[in-house]
Amino acid sequence: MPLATQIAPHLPFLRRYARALVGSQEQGDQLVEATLAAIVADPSSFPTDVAPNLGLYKCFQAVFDADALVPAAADGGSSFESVAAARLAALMPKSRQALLLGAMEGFTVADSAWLLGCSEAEVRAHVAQALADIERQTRARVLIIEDEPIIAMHLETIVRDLGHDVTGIATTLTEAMSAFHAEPPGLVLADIQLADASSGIDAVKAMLAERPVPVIFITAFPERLLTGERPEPTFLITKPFQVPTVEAAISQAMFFNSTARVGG
Amino acid sequence: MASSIPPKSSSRLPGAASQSAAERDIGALLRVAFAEAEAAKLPQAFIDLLDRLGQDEAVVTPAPEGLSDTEFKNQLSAVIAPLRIYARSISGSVDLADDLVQEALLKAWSARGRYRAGTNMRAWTYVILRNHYFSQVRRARFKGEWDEFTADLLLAQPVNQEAHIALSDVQRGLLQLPDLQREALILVGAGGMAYEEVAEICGCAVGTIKSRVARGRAALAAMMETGNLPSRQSGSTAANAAPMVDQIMNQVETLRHG
Repeated sequence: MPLATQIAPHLPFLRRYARALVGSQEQGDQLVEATLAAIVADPSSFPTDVAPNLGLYKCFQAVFDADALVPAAADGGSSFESVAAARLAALMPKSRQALLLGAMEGFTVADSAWLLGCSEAEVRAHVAQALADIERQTRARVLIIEDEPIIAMHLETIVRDLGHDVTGIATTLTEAMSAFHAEPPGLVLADIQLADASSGIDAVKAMLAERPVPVIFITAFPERLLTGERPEPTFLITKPFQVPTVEAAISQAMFFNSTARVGG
Repeated sequence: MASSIPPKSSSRLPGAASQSAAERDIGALLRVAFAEAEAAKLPQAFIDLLDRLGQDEAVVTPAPEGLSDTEFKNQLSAVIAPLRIYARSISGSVDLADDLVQEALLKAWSARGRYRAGTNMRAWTYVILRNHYFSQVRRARFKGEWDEFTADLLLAQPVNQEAHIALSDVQRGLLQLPDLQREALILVGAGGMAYEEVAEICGCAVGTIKSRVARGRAALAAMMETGNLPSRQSGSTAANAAPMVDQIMNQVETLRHG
């Protein structure tokens, strides 16, 4: 099969990888272009004993000099992308490459090791380092607003298992506001129907009026939230909830540092 | 989150099987964040380079690519409305049409690898829907239509032979009531007048009319239930009853218009 035909389907993914790696579309494209130019100049340099996508990434690695890498400020892209780029920029270059190759591009550890020219153990260490760094970046202090003690304890367990801290458990609007002021949280998990018939929505409105904070609503009454008024763009989980759903919502809210819905 | 990643991608991710849950989650989030970079059109510089790469070989241009999943989804959702119209026009049934569209969309999605970018998405999905519809029709020849509701209407006609008898029973029953009760019952029940109007006509309090109507109704109902009615052949016959009722009704009419 002609080389161009083999390479073409993998270019969008290489572009994505380059963009995530250097943090800018322009620089990423320059690198991909340089990679292609190198292959054009010397087609025999393209590894033929491996799958074409591996060969392409290997050529890219040859062009790309990790030490000279200065992460650029993200140029445009979605707000999710700029947040993700900022998170990646804080990682060590090798860790970032290992994480992107493994987690985002889905290469096996053996493939990543071959691409990066290091041992599998080193790749694992780099990935672990990257995950630990991101976990540290996204570690949050969580305020739980929930009037049913059993559910509150359950949520607390989920939050702690994810490595976050719980600043407090509030059962009423007043308690929620004083907990919010005593220890500003990085994430709020809010029920809507509270103990003294006050509303979690009002509590969240009052908090958002003071400063932006990611919010996840966990409620048996989703229709009360979806009224078309603020605060609408939120994560909304209906009770009874599935633990993985809550975990995914928390991870996503913290990773993107936003209350917005993604995808769908 | 992970569910929004199309299944096709997983075959691209051989490493995912051996990854920790945390790593897979981060991977999914990163793919969402950088989805634009993947879906964007390749810069012309890349295409030119690919062309140069292919020049010494038999095939010059890269093979037409399939669309990325994101782009395919966008194009597919754009044709949903025309598809529904088309499905309704060929099937002639709203329910069946929506089933057809759903099936066609499913088939299109699972066959998205065979769709070539730049060809006509609408025509492609129409063909899928049409083929599916005709294979359904072929199969449906051996099935009968059974609509529970229509069948009920056809098979069970309520009996109406007894209505006349019931009516004459009521008329005879009415004649057994005391005059005042009968008057009140007919004015309110058959005449459809308000209690206040009847009270004015009869020259008494509203409460009185209400109680007369209630007592009359109860007595009449008891008579109907027990069948405790004068025989049809006896003195005050149904033949006499009818003109009497008519007479009262005429009075009601005059009162109304007067």
